[in-house]
Parts: sequence; structure tokens; C-alpha cells
Amino acid sequence: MNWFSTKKAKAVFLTPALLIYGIFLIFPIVVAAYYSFTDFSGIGKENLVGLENYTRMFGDRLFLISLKNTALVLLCSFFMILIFSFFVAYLLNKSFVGNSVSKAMIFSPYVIAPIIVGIIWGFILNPQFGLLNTILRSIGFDNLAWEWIGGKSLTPVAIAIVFTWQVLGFHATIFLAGMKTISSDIYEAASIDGANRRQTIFLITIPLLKETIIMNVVLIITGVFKIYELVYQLTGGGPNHLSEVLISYMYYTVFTSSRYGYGMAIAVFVLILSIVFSFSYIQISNKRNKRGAVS
Amino acid sequence: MKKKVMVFLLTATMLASVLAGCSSGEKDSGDTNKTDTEQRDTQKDTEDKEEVSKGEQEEVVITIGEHVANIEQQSPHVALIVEKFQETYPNIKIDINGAEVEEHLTKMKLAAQNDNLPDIIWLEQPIAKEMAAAGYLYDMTDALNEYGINNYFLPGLVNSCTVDGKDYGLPSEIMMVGFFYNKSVFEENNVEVPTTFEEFMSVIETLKGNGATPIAIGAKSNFSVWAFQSMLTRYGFFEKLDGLESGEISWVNDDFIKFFEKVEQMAQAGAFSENAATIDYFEAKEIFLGGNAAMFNSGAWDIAAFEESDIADQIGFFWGPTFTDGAGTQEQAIKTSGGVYTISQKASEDPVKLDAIMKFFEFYYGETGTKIIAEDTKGLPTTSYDGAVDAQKNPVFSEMLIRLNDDWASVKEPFSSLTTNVGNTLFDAIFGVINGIYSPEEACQVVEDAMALER
Repeated sequence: MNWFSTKKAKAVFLTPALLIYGIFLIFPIVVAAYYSFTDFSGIGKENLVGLENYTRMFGDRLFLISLKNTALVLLCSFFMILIFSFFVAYLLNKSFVGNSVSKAMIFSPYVIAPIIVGIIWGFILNPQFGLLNTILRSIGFDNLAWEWIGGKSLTPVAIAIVFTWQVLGFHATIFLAGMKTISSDIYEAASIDGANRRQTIFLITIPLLKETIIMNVVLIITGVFKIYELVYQLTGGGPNHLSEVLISYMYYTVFTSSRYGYGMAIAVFVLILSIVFSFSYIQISNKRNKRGAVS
Repeated sequence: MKKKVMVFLLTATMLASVLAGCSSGEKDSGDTNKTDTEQRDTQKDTEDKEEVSKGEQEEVVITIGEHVANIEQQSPHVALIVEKFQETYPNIKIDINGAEVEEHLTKMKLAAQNDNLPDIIWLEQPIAKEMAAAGYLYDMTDALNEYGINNYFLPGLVNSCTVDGKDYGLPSEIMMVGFFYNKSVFEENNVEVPTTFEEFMSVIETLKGNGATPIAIGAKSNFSVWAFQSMLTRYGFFEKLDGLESGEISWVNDDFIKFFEKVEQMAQAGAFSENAATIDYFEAKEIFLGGNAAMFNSGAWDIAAFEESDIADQIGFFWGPTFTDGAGTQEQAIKTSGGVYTISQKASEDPVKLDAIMKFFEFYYGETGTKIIAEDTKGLPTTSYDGAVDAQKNPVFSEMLIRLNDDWASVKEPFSSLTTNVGNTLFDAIFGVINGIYSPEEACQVVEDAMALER
């Protein structure tokens, strides 16, 4: 037996990656979880307070606002990203003049730093002097010149739109990679059998992209839960924390209000929430797969 | 067997000699303890002094953590003082780094946990007091007396940051806050500088009615409510402080509700920039300096920026309105120290470095530093200054100096007397009313809830 195939060899090769993963990912999570049971203020010693931080969370109006906003952003961006990125990937899967340039341009927002994305869209969405409202007012649509950011209710929708713009290319790339794995013979056979475009998409492409869809869904969920820079730059979480999402509120709690313990409790909650969402979706999809296979 | 006996005897001999040594010390301890301690202290002092005089020849590096990202532009007096100090003391090098306030304070908290604080650190007073209580900062009480630094300060600025009667911080700047106003905008709209709140509202309504923005303010910088803190002191904040801390007095009291009602009145009259929620303090300042707002709430730290602006000779200053339904002294304003310079406990353990740091503070607060602040960079010094000011050349600076020496009583900034969490919640409450999110009662309740957690 080749040494490289042995369990020992596998352990040797996995160890460095596991060490890095353990030190830079698992260890900080464990430390954060510990502090979530304390009243640590960032200075001096911490005191254990049991579950006080967790029970406080659900009575904290600002935490509930941030949770609601995160849910809104997730709901809006989930469907927009999934549908539009699939559609874009479908188009990019065709060969046409400028296909490579199009791919690069669609992917480019993803490589821009999120804080710069926030600055750019701040100039577009500002209710008073932003590009969008200026155009709307100039063409006589004053009643559509809403408070996209800085108002009491629309900011989560605006954040979802900006987030979608930023990551659309990334998710389209994943879909495109999945589409490339589908053999053209299947489409040929379907065409011979008389399938139209809609039937091809819904009965062949989408079912064969199930694993890709699962991956994209998990990435969208985890991506939404990580949104911070967009909120920071567009509104700072304001006015009065009305546009906070979970991570931006956690940041405010830890670094502005010096309530490290409570902030870590929020961070642990976000971690659990994103794990629950992601695994639930994977489990549901796998069960549907098995039912489909059985029938 | 023989070997075992030898080992036992040797061990017993060693133990006996150790015990004999201890017992001879303990036997005499009753008589010589005081002498031993005094001898040790004297010896340490002598060693320290020897080290210091050696250090005067060796190169010493002092690190400073500042609360501004661009020292030359935002704290030009600090940059110039550091430069001149290094010329005067060529063996002392200063490595100064800074970041914007929030980022700086976050870094300092993290640095404290890693025992990696700079030698001199600018801190807000609440955080300075927390760090002092946790043992991260040096008690400079004795050192200040030894180097005579307290003699330089203006009355009211000595003991700027104390914990249990011990000095942990020196005033970094004069915290003098109120409303800067554009004289030409006032003249164009035929309004005069208000004194009472009724006059203030009349000015706001006139300005708004004529299409001017009365007050530029940036809600993204939740700390930019200095003039409103002044207003809060005119509703008896400091008279109530002990009661607020103990819980005998709630934040939901008539006086504080009246304060927030005034803020609400201002908001409803359109006093604030329409885009307040989406801009920060720096953008609001640009709006004011661009002549697009009549007033701007800020403080003495902006003198240099205002002097350099196109509207320097048009900028005036007033303390903000007094209230007929206020509590306590009305003619009082925040004319005190804001942030403080502290010394890390770790830096103080090196006598050579500590001497260099105290020499720096002697220079900063002494005649040379005071002159640099007042004459070269047009800042308000925290120390006595007798020089003349050219009102034509430095209109903003000279106006601020006049106000600093007027007969309004000086009070601290309320934020400095609160914990970080409660202070930030107070800022949120004020902006909550400005943005129409909170009613006055809700604003009071929000701060009360935050305070209750600390009691």
C-alpha cells in the first residue's frame, strides 16, 4: 500500500490546515462563547453572569430591530440573488460576442471592498442629493423620490439591493460553473423530444443544478448574516439603530458601548442562527432528493 | 542502604540551612522591618535616579496614541510640540500614531488586554477612569507635584481625571462647546444672536422660513451633540447626578423631559439639516463652512479649521440658549477638559522612560508648549497664557478667548461623568428626539434603562 494512502499520511497532511482552522476559527468561537456568559466590558476582569446576556437579548428592543432587519434583508436578497444570478448565468452560458468581457464586468462588483460599495451607493441612494432621487425628481417623479436610506423603514430593502448588486456576479459564476457540468447531450435529447425553452430550464437545468443551488443558498444565508460594512457606510446603523443588522448591532454593543459580554452573546446567536438555517435547508433538500429517487 | 542514608543526611542539611536562613530574617523582622523598607525605598530611589541620569544620555523612545487620524491636520499643536520637544531633547524620540476617536478607543482597549498600550494615551474620561480602576494606568499624583506640572493649569483644570482622589490624566484640550454661527447668514436673515430659548426658536423659525438651514448636524456621528449636553446641564444634570447614580432619581424626571421637549421643538421647527441621518460630523462641518447652514454645534478643537476657512471672519460663537423653566444656574457652559492624556502603568515602571514622559508633559504644558498652542496653531491652551491675540488676523480664536474668560460658570461635560454605555445611550436619546424616533419621555426612559444596568 502506498504510504500516501495510509491514515497516518492523511493525518499528517491534514494537520497544518486543521491547526490553522482550529486556532483562527474554532478557538475564537470558543473564547467568544465564554465571554458571552460574562459581563466583560473590555477593561479589567470579567465576571460570570450565566445566561443573563441571552435572556436580555430577547427583551432588547434594538436587538429585535436588528433581527427583523436582518430577516428582511435575507428575504429580499435571497430571492433576488437566486433568481437574477441564475438568469445571468443562463445568459452567460451562451456564446456571444463580448461574453468574456460581460463575465468580467458582472463579477467585478464582488472584488470591490464592501466599504467602497457602501460609499458608492451612499451617493446614489442619498435622499437629498443622491443620483437616484435627483434623476427621479428631474423627470417629474417626485413622489418616487423616497428616503431610500436614513429613513425609518426602507433602509433594509436598500441594503438588500446593494448586497444583491455586490454579490450577483459571484453567485452567477457558481451557477455558470454548475451549468458547464451539464452535458449538452441531455439538451440535445430534450430538443429532439420537443422540449421548449421553459421546459428545458425547469425540467432539466434546475434539477441538475440542485447541488449548486444548495451551495448558493448556503452562501447567500451566511453572506447576509455577515453584512456590516454596507450598513456602516450607508447609515451607520441609524437613525437611532433603526437600520442595524445583527452584526452591525453587535459591533456597536462591543466597541461603542463596551458591552463585550452581551455583544459576544449576539455573535454566538448569529452563529447558531446561520448554522440552523444552512443545515435545515441542506436537510430539506436532501430529503426531497431521496423522495425523488425513491419515487 | 548507605547511599540512602547519605542522601537523607544531605537533604536534611540543606533543609536545615534554608530554615536557619529564614529564621534569622524573621527573628529580626520585628525590629528592622521599618528600616528594611526605608532602606529598600531609598535604594530604589537612588537606583532610579542613577538610571535617569544615565538615561539622559541614552536614546529613549516614547510612544503616543492619539485620537485623530491625521495629527498634522487635526492636532497641529501636538505635531508641532512633538517636533520642538525632540529638538530640545535630542535623545528623546517620540513615535506618535493616531486613529479616529472610536477606532482609537477600540484599539486602546484591545492594547490594554494585550499589555501593549502606548506610553502616553489619549482617552475619553469614562474609559480613562475604567482603565485606571483596572490598573492599566499610572497614578501620576506624586509625579505631577515633583515636576510642578499642576502649577501651569488654568483654575478648574487641575485634577481633571481622578479616581479615589488620585490623578490619572492631564487635560488634552479645553472642552469649550456651544454653537458657532455664520454672522453674514444671520445678517441676511435679520436675526440676532439669541440668549433665551424663546429667542433661539424665533431665530430658527425665521431662518427656516427664509429657506436657510438653521443647524448643520450629522447623526452618523452620535457623539456630535456637545451643545445639547450644555443645555442638559441647564436642567440640573449635575445637581441630580448623585441621585441618578444611586437610583434615587430617575432619568424620567420633569426637568429632563422638559430638556428633551425643547430638542423636539427644535426638530419639529425644522432646525436641523434634512439629511442629518445620512451624514456625519465632518460632513456637517463642511456644510457649515460652505455657508450652507447658519449654525453648527462644535467646540474649541475646530478653531484652527475655522480660522483656515473662507468664512473665518464671519464665524461667531455663543453658548446656546438659557431656559426659563430650567433648573439651577442657567449661565453655565462646558468649559472644562475633555479627553485626557494618561500614562500606561507599564511605561511608568521604567524610570528613564517615566522621566522622559514627565519632561514631555512639562514641555507641553509649560511656557513653550502653551505658546505653540496659542500662537502657532491657534488652539485654546489648558494653561495660563498672557500673550496678545490679533482679532483681525484670528477672529475665531480671539472670540473664543473672550468667551472662555467671560462670567459664565464652567461645568464638565455630562458624558465624562457617565459610563461609556450610558453616555452613548444619552447621545442616542438626543439624536432619537432630533430624528423623531423617540418622544421626550421615551428618550428619558432609554437612558434610565441603560443606567439601571449599571447600578
